[in-house]
Amino acid sequence: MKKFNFKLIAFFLATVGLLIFLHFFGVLRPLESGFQTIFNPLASFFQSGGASINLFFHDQIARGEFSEKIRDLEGHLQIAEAENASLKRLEEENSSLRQHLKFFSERKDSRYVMANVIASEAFSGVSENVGDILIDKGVKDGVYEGLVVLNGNGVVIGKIYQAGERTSRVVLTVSSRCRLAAGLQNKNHTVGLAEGNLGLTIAINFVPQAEEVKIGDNLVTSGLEPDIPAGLFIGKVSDVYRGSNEIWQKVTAEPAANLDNLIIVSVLLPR
Amino acid sequence: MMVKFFWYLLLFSLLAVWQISFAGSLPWYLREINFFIIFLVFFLEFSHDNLFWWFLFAGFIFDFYYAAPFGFFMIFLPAVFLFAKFLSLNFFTNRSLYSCWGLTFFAVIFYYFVFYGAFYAIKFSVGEPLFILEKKFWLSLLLAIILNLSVSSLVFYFFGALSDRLKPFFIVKGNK
Repeated sequence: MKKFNFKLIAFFLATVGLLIFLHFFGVLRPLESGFQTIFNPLASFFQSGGASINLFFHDQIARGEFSEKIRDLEGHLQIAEAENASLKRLEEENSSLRQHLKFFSERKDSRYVMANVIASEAFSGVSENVGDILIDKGVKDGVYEGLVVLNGNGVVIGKIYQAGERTSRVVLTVSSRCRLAAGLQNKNHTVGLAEGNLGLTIAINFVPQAEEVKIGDNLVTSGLEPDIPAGLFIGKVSDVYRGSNEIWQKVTAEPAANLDNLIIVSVLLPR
Repeated sequence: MMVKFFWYLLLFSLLAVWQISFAGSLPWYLREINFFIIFLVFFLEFSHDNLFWWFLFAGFIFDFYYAAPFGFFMIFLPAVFLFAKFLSLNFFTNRSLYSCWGLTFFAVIFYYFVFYGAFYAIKFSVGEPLFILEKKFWLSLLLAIILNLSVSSLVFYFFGALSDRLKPFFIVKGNK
């Protein structure tokens, strides 16, 4: 057996310590920024490649439930899909870009920055960061923590959680770390705090018992948070529970946006 | 020397970006494929170059992309390398399919236990439940073992077809 090399381990730990120190004092920022400038386009390309495979497999599973005739047709469709895979990806990007432009051309007073999704965090089942997405825009593009992130239809998909120099981390609306001042489009325009629930749904907290909330009510941003305007669509109420001994109602909403396979998103900047 | 340096620089940069962006966006049941472990296993089969510092470099890239405490991957990835190298030098020395499976199997187990264990230690104060008591952990580990063994078998036969340095199975008695 080989002897344990204490010298190497000591030198290694000193190097790691030094790198951590230099990172926190910003000395490594040009290096990190340079790396990201070079590799972010590649990361975006890899991400959309993976997303295309994801989409392809997702389609496969859904179609498995159809009748035999549809399965026959599916065979033909698969061949066509495989042939058009790269074209489809470009089309999706194109359509997403057009949607974004359409949404913002209707809201001429809005400032925004469009970003490519470069990674979805999925490296561990334990980490609370699972489900977060990384985008290729950061502080240098005017992005900072707390800004709202939208999809091509102007639906809220999450918030900026951490902004780096050239990349940012977005927590999706279903994440427990995503908290949004929200309101319901019901009779009383009830306000509450929308908070992700188990990575699946959105819980609307602090809704008093007296408020009349119905399944299907729209959940929108309330405008009570700085830099996030009112009226941005988040989702629809899917469940309402009024416990007799509770102060607040338990209101649950489903996100309106499809949070899988995000390719291009927009970060809404303050006016 | 310089050519080798730039070759490794490019290889590890691409491998890290590939693992972060591509593997992370695959369907959930394929996300446990760990290209780093597969690369490591085959690298140890073919080469004697010391990749320790390159794993530190890859960890550095992971650290500025991921939100784990900065420095975590710079320690974690070289530790995986050291563990796999230790096994490769002392136990799995014959370049057979079984040694490839053995290395992949133990490297995946080491990766998962250290990774989840470290995150559990970081979040101990928050009252996170012990990871080994969670069904999710064991399911992820099982899936990771199956996926990575399958991918490494495919890669093994691919390289086996290209090179005669890999043995199809165990060493046959008397075969030198």
